[in-house]
Amino acid sequence: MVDLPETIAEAAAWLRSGRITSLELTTRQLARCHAAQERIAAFITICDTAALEDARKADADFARGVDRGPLQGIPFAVKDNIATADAPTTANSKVLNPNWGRRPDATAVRKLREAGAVFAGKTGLYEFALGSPDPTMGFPITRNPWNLDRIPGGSSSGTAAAVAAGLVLGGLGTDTGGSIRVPAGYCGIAGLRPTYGRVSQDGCVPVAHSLDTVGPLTRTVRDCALMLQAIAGHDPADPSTAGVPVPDMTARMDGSLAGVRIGLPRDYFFTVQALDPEVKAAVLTAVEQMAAAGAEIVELTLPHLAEAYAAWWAITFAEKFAYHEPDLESRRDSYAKATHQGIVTGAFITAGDYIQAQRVRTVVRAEVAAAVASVDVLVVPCTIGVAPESEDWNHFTTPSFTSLWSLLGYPALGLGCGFSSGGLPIGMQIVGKPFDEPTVFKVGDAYQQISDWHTRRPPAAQEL
Amino acid sequence: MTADEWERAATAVDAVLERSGLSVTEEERASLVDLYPQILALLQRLRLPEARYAEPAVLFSAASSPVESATGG
Repeated sequence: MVDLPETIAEAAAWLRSGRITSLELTTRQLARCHAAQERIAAFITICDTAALEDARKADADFARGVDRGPLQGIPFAVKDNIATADAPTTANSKVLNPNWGRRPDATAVRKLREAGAVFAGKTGLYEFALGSPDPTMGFPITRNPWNLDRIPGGSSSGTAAAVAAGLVLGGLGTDTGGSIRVPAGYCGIAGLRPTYGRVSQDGCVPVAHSLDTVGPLTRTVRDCALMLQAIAGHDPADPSTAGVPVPDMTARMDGSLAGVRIGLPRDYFFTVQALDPEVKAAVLTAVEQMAAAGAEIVELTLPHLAEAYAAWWAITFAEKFAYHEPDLESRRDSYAKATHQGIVTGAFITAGDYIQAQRVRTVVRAEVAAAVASVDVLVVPCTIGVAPESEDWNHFTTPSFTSLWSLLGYPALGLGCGFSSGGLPIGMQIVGKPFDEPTVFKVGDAYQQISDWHTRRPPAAQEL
Repeated sequence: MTADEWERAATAVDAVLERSGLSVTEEERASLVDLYPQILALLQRLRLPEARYAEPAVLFSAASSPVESATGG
């Protein structure tokens, strides 16, 4: 029996040195996935047959001298609102027509498998990436590996929990308003919402088409970059993808923060009354550490945040209402109660409201671009607190630190930056400029080199 | 909300649900009525004077397919 690698980068080295084969790695990871189902329930479907087949192919490629890159032979998980050829897609809902997912792999999944990665299974989420966990719907309720009485956050709950617990080394999530970054923060891992248009949405069940993104969740920032490298790029199947070149995502990772200009928008992000003092202290301490390592901190103010949130809400809820409208009445009882009610609020948004929200989006985009012109990245918390016992998000009262970047299409990395006195991870966001993920990764990777939060493992992972 | 305000909100909620062809449980209707002032307040924020004549951030392409437009084809 061999030990297991902790990261994708480490696994890639082990696979090339012969310390482990993909079949051994995959077999061990699958065993962990099954063993964790009863307590963590990260998966809706674990795909042993497909995974072992992919692993054998990866090993055969290694044996023939074919190297498809750093993901070859490494198991990954896929949020169950992304289509896969080898497993059904449920979106954690009884409403989604099972025929919808009977298709080839979604583009992001296909690209990972073409890079030699091993498809391990489909992970849990909130119904349609909305609402909150509902035990009456018959799907597994994913728990937070750091404390099984807490939620892992949503909606990419299963992928985040699976990565945090070491069931897989990486996976895919989706993010419309924070669904990668919030669970990344609650689980103490790294999760990137890429620039809107960087990664194809082909094969994803939509939430809100002008805000949805697909992105990676991993333990380290470097691993996030490796996964994004594989899935990024224009896709003829998704006209929202941008026809811009895909840079080397690791090229700027030199471990240095010297000369990096970090924007710190204190107003709102660090001043809202609901912000947990432990979260505020942890994020500001991380900023101080980065300053001590050579970064320049630039205090700045972002305009029209209340209006920007309203625009995000109106666009999200109008677009999701339009998608679900045909099923809302005829399939009412098949939706979880919270999901249905959440979607119905979209009926209150008029066409005029929606267009006005898109106008506000234009105005705020220009204003924020001007406000952040002199900095390389911004740092803000992921959430107002640590993982709660149940999903307590209220769209009308809970301050959001993630939705602004969704509205603007900016890339935003969620990652652990500390722990609460109760032993729960605290997350911060490193936000970059559109299509400048390499700088986001540079800063995140450099931070992980001067901190050790990402090396800690939850108790539930150690018991597997 | 006062009783009068609640009644007005309930009337508005019922009208939206009827127009949308949606039926809801009494519990869901009561929740929507309670939420209605918050929804209106949120939507009111969108009436930003600076945005009065801004171009909406939506895209229409006259090309025969969006893909053609996106790729310059």
